Amino acid sequence: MARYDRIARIDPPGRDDAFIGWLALRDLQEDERDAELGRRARLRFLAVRLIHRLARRGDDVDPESLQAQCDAVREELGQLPGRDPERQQLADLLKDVPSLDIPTIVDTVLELGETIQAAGHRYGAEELYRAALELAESRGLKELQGRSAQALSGLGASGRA
Amino acid sequence: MAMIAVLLPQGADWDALRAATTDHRLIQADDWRDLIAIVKREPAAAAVADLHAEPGKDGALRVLRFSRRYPRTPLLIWGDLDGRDLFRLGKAGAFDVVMAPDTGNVLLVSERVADATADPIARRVDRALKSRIGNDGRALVRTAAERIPDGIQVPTLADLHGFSVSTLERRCQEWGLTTPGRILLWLRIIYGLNWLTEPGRSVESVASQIGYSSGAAFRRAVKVTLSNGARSMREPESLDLALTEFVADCPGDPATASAGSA
Repeated sequence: MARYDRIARIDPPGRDDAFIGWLALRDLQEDERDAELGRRARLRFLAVRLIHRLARRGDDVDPESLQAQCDAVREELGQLPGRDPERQQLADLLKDVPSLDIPTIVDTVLELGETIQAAGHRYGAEELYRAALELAESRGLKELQGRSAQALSGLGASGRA
Repeated sequence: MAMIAVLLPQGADWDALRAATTDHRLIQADDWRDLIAIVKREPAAAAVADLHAEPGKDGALRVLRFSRRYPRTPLLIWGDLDGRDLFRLGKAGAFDVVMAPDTGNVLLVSERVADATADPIARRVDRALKSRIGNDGRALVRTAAERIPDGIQVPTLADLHGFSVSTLERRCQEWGLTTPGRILLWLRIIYGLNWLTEPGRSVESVASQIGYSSGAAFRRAVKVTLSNGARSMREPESLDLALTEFVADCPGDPATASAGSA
């Protein structure tokens, strides 16, 4: 058996036991060699890390560093087809993040989560919804917290960040 | 100053990490084997490695081996990582990742390194003391704890706070702490027991890191200090016991204790 199969046989870690945003990659579990899904999952992972950074660092996050992080993700959007709805929503999100307009950002994240859910990628959607919930909670945005929790319960996941 | 073991063969990556970690000591490893040898020799606050440091070798498998041997040493993976790499790294137990396009983002890299090198033991000690010791006393213990891996001694601790040794002793008494010497003794035992919970560590390497002449000397210190002796030094219960007994060894600051219970 090839050496890498040793990792394939390990049970996936829980969300809290892996690094931030890893859950967005768990859709690869069925076929980790699926290159197209790998590219999508990677972009979702990069996007969700931006949201977690905003949620955790709050107003302390450096605007230039955040902009540079957004630019780095934007450069990779070309990996998705031009008319792909997920690509458009990711582009919108990358435009919203540097503005630090939190309600708009949460709204965009939730929409992106819905698109990912509709594509049948449950874990990617869950990570996006959880990121939206954490960001809404960090700024006390009750209505958006409720929407995020509702989206999570739609997936059968607990509505707690 | 924490030590970070680093496996980054590309000079540009090393420079980027150096720029983001000015207050840490970096030790360069030549390959994965060397990285593990460095961490085994001297407990590191964290390790940083390029997933593709050794062409032809499965980096994620190296991460898995590392995280099994040193589960309390965060391993930050650096490099050009595709979706599958990231997925496998999560399963293999990597602490976090720095993606190639972000390596020039100094603040982002320093945030990742700060998360990886945050000292959970210093935080646990601080939490354990909170209900009995005021801010000044806890600040002193924090200073001491942060420097245990550097082998801090009482005169250095006194210097860091601008006191003479005798003033430091008096302050410890006023703040409800045990003596400076015993604070350092307890912290050495707490850190030593914490490092020993990692299967890849030997008693000898831990003992030398915290300033004991041999593994036997460290065992003796644990035996005479902990109420259960030196039994099961590698079990997490011994670490919990050391924390509890350290707190009990501090008389406590009556003002802090009464404010906490009010």
